[in-house]
Amino acid sequence: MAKGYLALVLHAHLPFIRHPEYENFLQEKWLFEAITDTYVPLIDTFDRLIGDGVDFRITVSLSPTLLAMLRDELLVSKYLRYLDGLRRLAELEVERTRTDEKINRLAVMYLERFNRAREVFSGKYGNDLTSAFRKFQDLGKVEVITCCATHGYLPLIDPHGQAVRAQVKVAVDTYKDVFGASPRGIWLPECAYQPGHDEILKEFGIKYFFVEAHGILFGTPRPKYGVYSSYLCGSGVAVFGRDMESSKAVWSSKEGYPGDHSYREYYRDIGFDLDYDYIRPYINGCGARVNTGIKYHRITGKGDFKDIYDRQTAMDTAAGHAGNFMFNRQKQVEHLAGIMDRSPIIVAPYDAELFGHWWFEGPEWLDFLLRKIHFDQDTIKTVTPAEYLSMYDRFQVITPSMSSWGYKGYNEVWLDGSNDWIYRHLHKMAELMSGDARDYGAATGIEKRVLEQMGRELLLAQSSDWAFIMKTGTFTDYAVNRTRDHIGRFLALHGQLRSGRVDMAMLEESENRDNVFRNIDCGVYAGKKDRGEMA
Amino acid sequence: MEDSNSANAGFSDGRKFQLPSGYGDNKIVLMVRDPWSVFAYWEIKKDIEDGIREKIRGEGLTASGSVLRVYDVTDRDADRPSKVIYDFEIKDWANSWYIHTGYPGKKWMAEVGIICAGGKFFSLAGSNTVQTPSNRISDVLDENWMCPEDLYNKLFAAAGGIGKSSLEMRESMEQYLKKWLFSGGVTSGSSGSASRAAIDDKK
Repeated sequence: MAKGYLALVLHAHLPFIRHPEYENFLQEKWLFEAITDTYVPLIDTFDRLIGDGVDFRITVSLSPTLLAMLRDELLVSKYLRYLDGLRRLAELEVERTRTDEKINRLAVMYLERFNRAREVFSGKYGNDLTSAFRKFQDLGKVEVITCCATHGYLPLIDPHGQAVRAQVKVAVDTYKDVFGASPRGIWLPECAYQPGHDEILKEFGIKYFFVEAHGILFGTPRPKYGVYSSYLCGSGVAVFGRDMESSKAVWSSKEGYPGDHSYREYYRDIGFDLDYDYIRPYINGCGARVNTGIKYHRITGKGDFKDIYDRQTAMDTAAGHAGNFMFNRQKQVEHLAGIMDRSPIIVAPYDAELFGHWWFEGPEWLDFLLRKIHFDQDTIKTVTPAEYLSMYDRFQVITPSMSSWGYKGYNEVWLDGSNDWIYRHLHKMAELMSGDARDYGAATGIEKRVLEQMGRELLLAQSSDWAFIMKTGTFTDYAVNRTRDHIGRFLALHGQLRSGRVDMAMLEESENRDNVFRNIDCGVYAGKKDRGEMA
Repeated sequence: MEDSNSANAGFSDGRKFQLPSGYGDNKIVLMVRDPWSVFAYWEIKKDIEDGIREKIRGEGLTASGSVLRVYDVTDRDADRPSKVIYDFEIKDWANSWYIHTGYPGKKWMAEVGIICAGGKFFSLAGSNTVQTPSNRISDVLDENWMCPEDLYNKLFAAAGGIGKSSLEMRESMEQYLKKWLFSGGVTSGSSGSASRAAIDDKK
């Protein structure tokens, strides 16, 4: 029997970016790259593991905006066009590099990867990758959980709570639409928790969530097991704390695996390296050089010189890193099991997009790790949080401390001189939305459509991504303009609703562009509880 | 249909909306930033401010400036009123402020008001109450979930990979956690790939 458990958690999220008004839109590429580099390789990994009889558990949070984009017809058709372009480029590359055996081997690898992506995305899963996750969940291998509707940073978006409730309710409703059941767990955006928000999670049937290590360690009363067991909040919702050691192994820029010199270098891409006329049709529509995803070099070292990537060496390294990770978790569990009176759980959450997109070999590392855990040892076992909760009847009750996994552990990244201007607007919008939802709760027809679009614009304005991008200072224009746009549209629609003079062209344009959450229920903003929630 | 017009911006709609500089409200809102600081933003209605200034003159006082007054309301009750912790002079143009409260685990409230030459304070708006988080291991123990101190220290040491057990362990653990938080060790996990993508295409 295992002495302890490992809960791997992958958090997949992208903000809602959809621009029907443009044939090519630079930021839509974030989704396309994530599909090709991360989601398809992860799905392929899970399928391979299942095919080979590997028993594994992993938790995957799919944010509601990501779910919506993965099922959006327009974005899917744009993705297929993008992927076909990549396949053409890879074919050209195979031809161009014919005389250089090492690079040619890599060009062939990319061509095969892109062809495989097409096969998995369209052939196997019918242009809807959410069906893959539904399948894995039905097989009991992957626990799919939710995240807030638009990744709103809960401690900052609403001092009064209705907007926080809406972020959770819309998330749960979206999950039900896609997976046909209620989510058991939630990944709080940026792991940001504020005491009391667990009450809102409970209201919508959520059984557990996660916090950063100090959220547990600085909780009250003193947590008996540190981060190595779950706890219950006063609401009865369970909370798990992130383990720092296993996080550091993957995330740390100094000690983390992804920085190994044999791994692929992200920042050398043929989109920048090759002749402009040659690469022109495959980069941004306006002609600016961008990454294509085809990269032939390895990290090599800190300097500018980059050696050619060797796939086999990188795979050997990934296998070694998987072995190292497993060994360290075994040692950790053995130590903990000796001093705890219950089986310890190590919770290791990561951004899903690290795997494959940033850390090219990440999906293979995961594949090696899950195989090794299954075949090579008995000390640790992978588990989902829900399974761990079912192992014990009693858990200590604590109030976790306010915390996040952002820099310095609190709200600073999202509340900073670069982005603090947004909150007076977001809070006012939440207040106006609550008033309108109360006053127009029984509205039908156009008034109902206006109210629902206001809800969408509010949710989209609340995406934590905009504040984060403003803070990082790159693509700031886009984040600022998206925020202004959603605030502006919301206020315009609010004015039209109140005056009774609806600008139909504007309403339709907004509905067409920001078409996320088609079945949004705005009653939540009025504090309304439906029967499902009351149960 | 056309392409977005540049690699970097590509979206112009936001510019067509002139966001209001205010909403005609009279309020101040506090938000927690971290254990040591909170953020305040406010908006004061002109007629309310005019009314207060009229009242000040009526009492024969002289307004000397606008002030952001911060209270520690942790132990506030009927017997123990709020403690005024700070007064910050507000410049005319300011409508928000970061306040270094300095004490984790306390409850805070703030008012925007006018202070007079003799020190009398007239409030224009009062805020919500917020609590800054504690940044240390709790001294509150749960008798049903007790753990011998030494064992507890070992457990916390395991969380931080600290291989010793001593009386200073708890302090070491808190220090370790703080170092971890400030090192950016946690932050690499934040933000989602969009934001990372935002960084990557630039490099």
